[in-house]
This record gives sequence, C-alpha cells and structure tokens, in this order.
Amino acid sequence: MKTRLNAWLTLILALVVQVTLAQEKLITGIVSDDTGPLPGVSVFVKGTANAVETDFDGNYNISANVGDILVFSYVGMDAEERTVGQESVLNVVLASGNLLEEVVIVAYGTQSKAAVVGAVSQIDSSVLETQQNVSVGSALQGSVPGVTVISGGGQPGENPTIRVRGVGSINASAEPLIIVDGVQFSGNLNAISPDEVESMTVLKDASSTSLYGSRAANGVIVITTKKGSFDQAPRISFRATAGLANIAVPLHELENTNRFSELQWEAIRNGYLDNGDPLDTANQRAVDNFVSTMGYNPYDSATPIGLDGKLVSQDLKWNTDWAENLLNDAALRQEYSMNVSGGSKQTTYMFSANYLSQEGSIQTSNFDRLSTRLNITSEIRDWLQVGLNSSYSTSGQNFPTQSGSSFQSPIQWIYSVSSYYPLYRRDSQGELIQDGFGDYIYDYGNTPGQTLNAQRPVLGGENAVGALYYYKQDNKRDNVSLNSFIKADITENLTWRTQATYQKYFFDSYSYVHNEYGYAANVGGRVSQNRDYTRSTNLINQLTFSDTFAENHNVKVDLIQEAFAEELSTLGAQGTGFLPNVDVLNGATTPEGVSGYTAEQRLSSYLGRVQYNYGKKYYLEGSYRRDGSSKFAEDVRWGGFFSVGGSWIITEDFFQDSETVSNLKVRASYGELGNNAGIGYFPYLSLYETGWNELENTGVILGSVADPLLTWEKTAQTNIGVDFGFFNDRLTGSIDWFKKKSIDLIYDKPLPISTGNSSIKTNVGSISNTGWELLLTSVNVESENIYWSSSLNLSSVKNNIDELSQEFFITGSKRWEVGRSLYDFWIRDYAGVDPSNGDALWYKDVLDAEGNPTGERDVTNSYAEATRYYQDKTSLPSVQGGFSNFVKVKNFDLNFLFNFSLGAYVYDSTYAGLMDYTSVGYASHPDAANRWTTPGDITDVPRLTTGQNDATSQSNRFLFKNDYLRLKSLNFGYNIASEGLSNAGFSNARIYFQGDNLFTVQSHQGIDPEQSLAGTTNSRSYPQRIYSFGLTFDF
Amino acid sequence: MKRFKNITKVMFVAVLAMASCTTEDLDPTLAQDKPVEGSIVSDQDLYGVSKGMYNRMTSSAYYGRDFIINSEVRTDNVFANSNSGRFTTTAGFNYLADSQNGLWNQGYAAIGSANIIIGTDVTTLEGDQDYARHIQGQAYVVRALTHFNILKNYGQQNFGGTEGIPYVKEFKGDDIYPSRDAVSSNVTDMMADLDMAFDLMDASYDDSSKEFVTKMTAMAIKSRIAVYFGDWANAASAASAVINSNQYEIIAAADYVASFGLDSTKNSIFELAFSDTDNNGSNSLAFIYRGSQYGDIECLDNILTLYEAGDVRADIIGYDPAYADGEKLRNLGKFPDDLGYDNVNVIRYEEVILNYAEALLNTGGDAVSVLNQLTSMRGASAYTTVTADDILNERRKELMFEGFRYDDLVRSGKSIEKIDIRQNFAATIPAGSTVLAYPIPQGELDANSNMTQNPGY
Repeated sequence: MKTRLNAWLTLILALVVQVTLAQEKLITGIVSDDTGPLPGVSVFVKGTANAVETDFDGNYNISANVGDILVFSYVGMDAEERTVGQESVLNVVLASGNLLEEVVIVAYGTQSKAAVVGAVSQIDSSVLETQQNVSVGSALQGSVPGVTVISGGGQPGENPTIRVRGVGSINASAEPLIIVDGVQFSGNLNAISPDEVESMTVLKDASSTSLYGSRAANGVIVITTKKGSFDQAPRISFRATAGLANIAVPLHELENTNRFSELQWEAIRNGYLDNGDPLDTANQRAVDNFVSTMGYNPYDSATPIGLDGKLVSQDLKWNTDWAENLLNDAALRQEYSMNVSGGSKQTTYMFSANYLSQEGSIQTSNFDRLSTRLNITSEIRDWLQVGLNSSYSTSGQNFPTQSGSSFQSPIQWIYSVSSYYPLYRRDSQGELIQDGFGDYIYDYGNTPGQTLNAQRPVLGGENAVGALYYYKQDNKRDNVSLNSFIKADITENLTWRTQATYQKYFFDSYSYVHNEYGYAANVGGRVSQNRDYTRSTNLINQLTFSDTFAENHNVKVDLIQEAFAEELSTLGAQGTGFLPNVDVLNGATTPEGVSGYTAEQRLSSYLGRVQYNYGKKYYLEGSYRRDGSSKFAEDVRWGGFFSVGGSWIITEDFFQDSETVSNLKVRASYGELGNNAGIGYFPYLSLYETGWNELENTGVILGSVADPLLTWEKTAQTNIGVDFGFFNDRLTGSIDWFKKKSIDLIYDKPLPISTGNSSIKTNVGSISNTGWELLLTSVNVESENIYWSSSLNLSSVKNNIDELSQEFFITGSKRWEVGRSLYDFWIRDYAGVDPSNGDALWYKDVLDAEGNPTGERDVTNSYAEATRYYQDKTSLPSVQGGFSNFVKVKNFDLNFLFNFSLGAYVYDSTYAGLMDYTSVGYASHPDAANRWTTPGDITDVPRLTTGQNDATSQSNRFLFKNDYLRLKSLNFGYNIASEGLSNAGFSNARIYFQGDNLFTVQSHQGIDPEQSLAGTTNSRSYPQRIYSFGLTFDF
Repeated sequence: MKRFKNITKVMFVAVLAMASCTTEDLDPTLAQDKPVEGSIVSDQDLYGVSKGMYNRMTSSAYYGRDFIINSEVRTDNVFANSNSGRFTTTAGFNYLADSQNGLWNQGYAAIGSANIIIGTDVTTLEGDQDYARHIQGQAYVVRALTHFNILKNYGQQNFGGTEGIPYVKEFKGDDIYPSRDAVSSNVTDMMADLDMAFDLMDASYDDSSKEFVTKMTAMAIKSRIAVYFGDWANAASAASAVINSNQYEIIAAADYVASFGLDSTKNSIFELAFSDTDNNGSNSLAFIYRGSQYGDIECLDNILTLYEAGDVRADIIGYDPAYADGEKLRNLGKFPDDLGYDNVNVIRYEEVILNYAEALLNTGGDAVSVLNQLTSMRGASAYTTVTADDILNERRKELMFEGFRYDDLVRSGKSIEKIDIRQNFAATIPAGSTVLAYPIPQGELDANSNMTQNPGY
C-alpha cells in the first residue's frame, strides 16, 4: 500500500510542476446561480487542457493569458464564455432556467422529469460516493422507496437480495432486471464498481418498465455509467480509502463453560430419570458417566461434577472462544480509484480504474476486484455519432462457507460446539499434542486410538477453524463488456440508433478439501473445479421521431427491434487422492467426475412507444412490446405487453401565483408485463436427462414431465402518484399507490408421485402486492455558510395469495392459502412450561365428535398433537424506509443515512438451538439457566433433558419481533480550500471519515435483523461495520 | 448535394437494418438432453433408459441405503443412536405426515422408467429386437420387485387390511390420479409381471456381472414374493427352478466374510453396482453402519448370542475400531468398504435356499435337508427337525443387516419386541398394529384425490 501511495504522490507532483510552468496570470472569482454560489462548476480555458472546478463556496482560480476565453459549464445549465481582459476577478452568474428540466433515465432513452407518467426513482453518484458498497445494488437500500434490499451477509462481493414492490413470483425468479447502459447485464453485479456509475434508476410501475416487456414484471434497475462531455477540459479525480471492519451486530450471548457443564450434567441426569432411574441412581450415573458422555474432560478430576450437580473445581485446562478464532474483528478494507474524463468538440471520453480489496467477517474470507472502464463517444459527422462503452473487471474471492448447516459453516459452529471442546488436539490427560514440527494440531473430534478427549459428540470429524485454513474455496470472475452504438440523425426529427453489445462472463470456482484433515481425509482430499462461461449478444435498432405540431402538440415516437441471445457453457471436474501440498486436479489419483453442458436462450422483440404532451401540461404515453422467447413452445412463444399512462402538471393551470405550492403533478399508469426468468432453458419440453450413469454405462432418465403450453407469468400493475413541491421547491416529494397482480405463476404443481413424477411445471395460481410509497425531501437551511437538507422515504407492501392449485401448501414455517400472504407464519403456539413437571406445553384445538375444531383450546405436552396456527405475524415489514441528511458548514460536510424496518417478525432457529439440551455438547444461551428445576417453578424455559423431547421444536416461542434502525452510512468530510492547493493545480481536495453500519438498534438481539425475506435464519455470516478514512483529489 | 447526403444516410441505415433483422431462431438447441418424443429408436436407446432405471434403484432413498436400513432399524437387530439424527423417526415408528416418502418417490420413479421400457414397441426398434425384449423383461422384474417393496411398507396387509398400493403399468397413461388397488390384485399383477419377464428374457443375453436382472432373477424374486404372501406352492416351484438351474452356489464358510467385499460372486443372483466413481458417498450404507461421521446404526448386544461357536456369520459383527473396544457393536462385515464402493445385493442364492426350505416345511416336503445345505456351509450345527421359528431364526442369522428382519417378523405375525432401552420405540409393537404400515406420503395425498390414507394417520 505504501508503494502505491508513493507512486500516486510522484504522479501528482509531476502534474503540479507542469501546471506551475504554464502559469501566466491568476484569475479568481465566484460562480453562482440565482440561489447562491455553485460548487463543482467546470471552469476552463477554451481549446486547452487547463481546467479547474469551483469549490463548495463557488470560488475558483485559474491561470490564463489575456485574450483567452474562459468557459463556465455546469450540468443542466447554459454554459457561459468570458474573454480574459486586464481584470483578475471574474464573477459569473449562470442561468438556472434549465436546472428545472431535470432528466431521468428511462427505458431505451431519457425523459425530462416533468414528462414521467410512471413511478421512477433515481439515485446518482453522490449517494454511491457516501457509502462503501462492494455491490452497487446495496446502495438502493434506504434511498429508494419501494425497494427491499437484504444484505448478503459478511462475505464481500455477495450481492444483496433486491425486490421491487414486493414479491411477484413464487417459483420463477423475482429478481429485477438489470440494465447497464441500455443492455441486459448478464454477469455478476459485483463486477461493477460503484465508482463507474453515474446513476441508478429503479423503474417500478408498468408504464416505465413495459418496454422491457417479458422481463419487466419484477421491476427494472437501469445503471448508467459515467461519460465525458463535449468541450470539457480533462478532469482527473483520485480517491483512496482505507479502513477496518468488524461485525455489525453482536452475536448471541453464550453460556460460559463452567455453568454450561453444570447445566449439561443436569440434562444428562434428567435423561436418566426419563429412562426410569430413581433419583439417586440417576445422580450417581450422571456423576460417573459425565466425562464419557461428553467425550472430553477439561477438568482435573475424573468426575468433575459432584452428586449435587456442582463442579468440584472451576479450573479449566482449556476454554475455547470459537468466535474469536472464526471471526475477523479487524478486517482490512482498501480502495483506490482514478477517474479521467473530458472531451473535445468531436469526442468525449471517460476512463476509470478502481481497485478494491476487502476482507470479510469470517477469517480468510475476502474479495478483491480490479475494474476498468473506457467510454468514448465521437461525432464523426454532424449527423453521425459512434460510441463504445467498454469495461473489464476481474475479481477474486476466498469464499469459506458463509451460511447453512454444513459442519464447516462458521456461524453454525459457534452456535453448535460448546466452549467445552478444545480448538487443538489434546491427549487423554488434557495436554496439548504437537506434530513433528512442534505445531499444535486442530482437534477434529475423531482422534483414533484415544478414548478420552478424542471423540467429540458435536460435529465430529470436523473443525471449523481448521476448515478455514485447510480448505480453499476460491471464486474468480472476469467480466468483459463491449457496448457500441451508432446514431444517425436522418432528418432533424428522425434519428436512427443501433446498439450492439457483447458480454462475456467467466466464473471459475475452485475448492480444495484437505487430504489429511476433515471430511475428505478418508479419500485423500478432494479438488473440484468448475468453469462457466456466459456469453451474450444483444442488438437494438431504434428509430426515433419527434416533432412539435401547432406549437403545443409535442410528439415523440420510438420504434425498436431487439434481439438477445445468451449461451451458458460449463465445464467441471472433480478428483480425490492428493499428496500433501498438492491441490490441483493433475495431482488427483482418482478422478471422480467430469461434467459439462451448453445451453442457450434467445429473445426476439419488437417494441414501440408514443409520447405526447400538450404544452408540457398534459402528458400521455403508451407503449407496446412483443417478445418471442426460446423458453416456450412455438404456439405460446410470443407474448404482447403494453402500458398506458398520463399525467397532469396542475401547477401549469392552477396555483400560478401561489407562494406555497410550487409544483403539483398527478400521474397514473396501467400496464401488463411478463416474467420468464429463473425457469431453466426449455421448461416446456419433457426431456431424457443424460448423466444418470451406472458405472461406465450411459444412463438416461426421464426428467420431470412438462406442460407444452407453459407460458409467461403475467403481471398487471396500476400506479397512481402525486408529485409536489412547496415553498419554491424547498420541500418536495411524491406519494405513490400501486397494485400489482401476478397471474399464471409458473409453479411446480405437485403430481401424484405414484405416476413416477413428483411435479409438473405449469402456469397456476396468482398473487398480488399492494402498497404505497412516500418520498419527502427538504432543504432545511440554506445560507452563506450553512446548508442542510433532509430526505425521508417510507414504503409499505402487502402480499396476498389470490389463487392456488390446491387448498394449501405447507412450506417450512408458512402455509400458503388463498387470502393469506406468502409470508404469514403458521406454526405451533407455545403455551409455556407445566409447573408440575417442567414439560413444554403447546396449544391444541379441542375437537368435536366429527373431528372438527370446536373453537376451544387445550394445552398438551405432545408436540405431535399440538395444532399449528396462523400467528397473524409476517416476515414482511409493515413499513420500511430510510432517512438521510446532508449538512454543510463552511468547509465541513456531513452525510448520513439511516434505514429502518418495522413490523416484521423473524423465526430465530439459532436461538432455538442454543436453548436445546437434548444432544450433549451443544453450545448454550445463558437464558437456558432459567429452566424449570423443581415442581412449582414458574418459568418459560422447560426442564433440560437429554431424553427425547420437542421443547425447542418450531413454535412461536422462537418467533420474535424484528424492528430495527440502522445507521447505514455516515460520511464526514473536510474540504481543504487553500490558496496553495489551487496554485498547485488542485481544484478540490477532501479528507473524510466513512462509516458503514455504525450502529443498529434492534428489537431482537443476537442476529443481524436482515436475514431473509421469509424471516428465517440460516447461520449466515454477520454483515460488517466498516470504519474508513479517505482522501479525494480533483485536478 | 444535400440530396446526395440524405441518400448516403438512408443507405447506411438500410445496411444496419438488414444486418440486424435476420430472423432469430427460437427453437431449442438441445446439447445435453434428448426430447422424449422420438428418442427411443434402437435397442441401445432402450439400454440407456434401463441404466437410468437401475440408477434410480441405487439411490440412497432406495437400495442405496434407506430401504435396507429402514427395514433393519424397526427390529430387534439394531437401533439408531442419534449421532447424526438419521433414522430415529422410522426406528421410533414415529411417523410424520411426510417423513416416509423416500421409498414411495424413488420407487415410483423407478417404476416410471420401467414403464417407459415396457411401453416401447420393440418391433419398431433398430438393432437386436430379441435383446430389446430381454431388456423389457428386466423392466418387468424391476416393476414387480419395486411394487412389492412399496407394498410391504405401505400396504395394509401388515395389519389385516385389504388395501394395497396403485399398481402402475403405464407411464403417463390416462390414469393420472391412480387409486389404491387391493393387496390381492397387487400380488396377481406382480406374479404376472414376473412370468412375463421370464418369457421375454433369453438367458443368452444374461450379463455375468449380475449387475443386470437375469432371466433367473425373475424366478428368484417370485420365490421371495410367494413366501411373503404364504403362497407356498409357487414359492417352492420358483425356488426349485432357481436351484435346478445350477447357476449358483452357496458361498463356502471360509469365503463367507470375504464374499461381502467382492462383486459378482457365485451366490449372487442380482446386485446393484457401486464403484469408486459411482457411489452414494456419505449417504451410503457403509457410512451409516460404521464410523463416527454418521455411524448411526448400532447393534443390540443380544444378536451376539444368536450364533453358536464356530458359525462364520458371527464374524460379520464386531466392535467399531473407531471407538474404544466394547463401546459400539457394529455391522463390520456387510458392505465392508468404508467409502461405500461395494455392490448391494438385491437377491442372493442363500435366500432362495431359505425360501425353498420354508416352502417345503409348509407343503410337507423335506425342509431339514435343504436347510442343512446352508448350515453345513456356515460352521453351524445341522438340524434334525425344523420349525417355522427355526427358519425365521436362520434367515435372521444369514440375512442380518441386509433388510429382511422386519418383513419376516411382520409376515409371520410376530410382534416387534422391545428388548433393549436403546431401541428407538417406546414399547413392544404388537402384531397387527397400524404403525406396521407407513402413512401414505402427504405429497401424494395432496395431489391425488383418489388416494386414501392408511388408518391411524
């Protein structure tokens, strides 16, 4: 890192010298618009590379010769030109009339914000710059109403789950479509550095998405990368940040070893009682057998616990803090980026390079990425433009198990294996064992030839710490995108544009399981490697006509033809039997398998859009798209998708003189969209699957039977919204209401298994999502030295099942039936503890003679007899949103964003596991100490026993409210504004602190509140809290 | 000049449009899989489907593990120690609505493959049509055997009921919501399938590896099914057909233990193939019978007392070397390869001998000398008289851990005794109890309104 910084400093110094040599005369001044000083205005000497930007107070200083022309330009404003005379102060006021004509990115083009009839939210680079996201998708959280983002845990480089306006599909994909510079993105979203992104637009309603037709039902996220501008002097900006991270929320509390030993003893003793032993015998057996049951003895005494259940001695030979060994509480993060942009009269360019390296919350997990992008546009004739957006990104990721219940899963390990068990191998006296090199050996809990301290009853044959260091899971990704266009202005009103894009995504996944330790030791280690190529090509031809008739009738028509093809080609191999330190497939003595296949999907489309407005007051828009997909059979291959929408800018007709109301607009839209993602390549064909071999003989089996008429899922969406601005737009905002109904859901409808098939993929069922969104933005203080603005967004969505193929489906903790949500918990009702015997109790329905519930409830200690009930609790929040603030005082600026979620519930199976003493040796929560011990005890924790019991089986005992408020990002910076800096050629320098996930207030402790849409836990790694310092130079 | 410029533009655009408007072919390119229609055109295609059928049978939900363990763990041979939590539900007779679906799913999937083969019109195939008929014969045997295996576990004959299971004879036939057939009808269909198989097959196509169903397999399986339903005449005739074929031998005492680690031995009639490249990994029989990773199945101590001194079959049982001596009594000798590479025997000659002895006992024949053919090869004393219990006992000793004990107890009306606290069920399961049949899987009931649940669930 030091060398890298040195190199940069040398480069900067070299540039400074150059600039100094060119100095002739210093011009200073303030650039402002009608509201005050304007920061970030580009000031340059026409025809040269000499350029600066205004600082936060609108000040600039630039050296120029008398007679030079200075150009002042700012996005959305008219550029001003001034000739340098004898004066050395030039103050300029830019016309702000165009600032209102805010432009948003929409499907296949751009639109002025006033013309938008649908629901569109856009965030620009200023939001991305104040957060440290590896994946750009994370930036949508808390900043865009109506978008649910759930973090991917603590492995950097994992993309978050993103849902736009609820969940619109059960079996097919519910992921939004990602469009990058006009084209469907087919790589991994983590290939895109947030630094390259100019804006991200979320298209939510039907009118804004319908041009994407069959892919649009789940919303569209349009990512636009940065570009240069014509006639813009080169701008170089350099940014470096470095920081440390730990986990964002504390782990569940764990019981200490000594207390755990006593509770475990009690559970073992109670197990003997359950088997019919009298109390004295049970006590004696528990004393005698404690160590042999546990397999290990960290105490001196052979019977460490006495008949009274108390430890004889508290001294421990070891006391393992698994979390300390498995988690990284000082994960290093560093990022460097450089961005060069500019343009001549004919050509614009933007080059960016970004390097990121981040360690994850689990030891050894990391991600590093180098991404570069070069965007060029050239006007080769006054009527002809060509351009190329090219990017290359390469990343590497060490990806130890991040979730789930495999033995290697670190979080699962922390919550499973008690601190009672040692990290390193011990002999039967409890002394550490060393290998031939004097190193300690990880204890895998299955040491052969030793009886005591050798056989761990919990997750035997594995050691999660050893797994981190002995196993490898490397993911390598390369992403190349070449996105070119040619645009011809045939006449003043008619434009032709052709865009051709080629993308190649390469994913190389390699894993090694150790030859001597762990679960592949019996086969001498295992290497498996998979290499997948995704190639996609996309061609768009677009003819645009726009004209104004009779002064006020503005019309714009787009006719588009699009073709998309994507090919996936895979190759994988696996082998076992490796010598020590050999971990490539060539070293395998036994090849285990080779696999590979190629699959292709294609989409052919014709689409059109008509936009009309009358005097920029009344807007109407309609679009239609016809898609043909290779995923469906010939007869049902083509689908038509459409939308209509309109808006009225009320303030154009009323409130003309109002001092309060500055903008008021109503808009409404309706449209029908499709979804064909996530259902495989040829779901309509019944196929023989190859690869079901018996020894060397090729075998085939019939894959699942298929519905030859399988077709698109369809979504109809209505959106009604109001945009408003008060007090000269000091307070602006919008409110939207929507209803999204998805029909013909693609679902694996169960078949009688006795027919030989378990399901058929067919169109069945329907769900709807209804909700509202609110966005409020205000400028609270605006004065010479202080600026403060705030933004609040809230959204709410309700999910409802409208139709199913059978009465109900039970999936885990949910039961899907018509009238309920996909996310309503349906589990047993815990009724506490029977004070007489300590049994867990649950409610059950009292049945009448016919077996129907009478409405009365009874309690039972039999879990099997207990009834499952809807809890009237759901895993979806009733309200979620974000609250952000930007404060600038003189040279200091502060930006922070809270996101929050209210009303959701989470089923914490991790906590349930920590309360369970049925199996010995499992880690425990201190709450277990509140267990029932003697008749008459009133507690909600049942008696602990190793005997068969269901006390910790799924019930609302472990269903918790999951409200939270999180300081998602905080950016505090100081702008160094000094004469010396300007003289040295810097237009701006900023030093800042950046903190992500700095604190979280949550209603249920111990797990990250963002678990999954379904509100269930999965031992997922914890997300990170990051503290970084950064430096930005612009020159 | 202006006009010329516009022509250039138009031509330019036209060229672009032509380049882009090539018709996209939206038909599938199937590099990996084959469409169903028109796929089976030769005897080799049929052979491919048959390998898929055998592959279904090797699944760990079927002969690969669960089918065999589920039959052992509900008896007085072994128990599930909860090490990995596997098999405790079945061993405790503690069924949930959908816990017993593995055999139903995999079994009917195997039947589906068999029905594709059976439904093929052999006369339209290229290649050797007699060989194609031989493959169809294999499919008939698999169809009969698999229905039998499902019926044993889900049928009501175990507690005196009459309802059997759907006997599915056609793949994707009109009868998409099959209902349950009577047990007696199931038996008729199975026997008919086996006779049909015997007729279709030609012994000259038999594979010496025994990893495919052979012509004589049909007779061997027939003797098994006949014994199960007490059809002693058919049992005797089918068993004697196998014996008189002289293709098989009882394995010698000295070779007994080693034979379980070998493939295609002389006593094997039909076995399913596993190898170092094709196996169930940790979901294999070896992993559940031994070791600390799973090792859930432990023996009850009393089985050691079954064998007299010198009986080689006792050498199968021993203490797990991964644990302290005397700690965990295990099946060490059957499926001995710790990585699960051993073939799994579906039927072997010794069982046919036992079937024959039992049939003779019940038809007044000379059971004693037949049974002594076996004991003499095991280092056990010869019988002078034989009772039904002797034969059950001899079956237990010979076929221990191979998944026969539960069926033998149930079919002979014995209760399943609770003799050890470690057995997973709370108390002796009396003969005729409804828990002797699994519940019909919930998934089947949800999707098939013609299906009825067994009593007690």
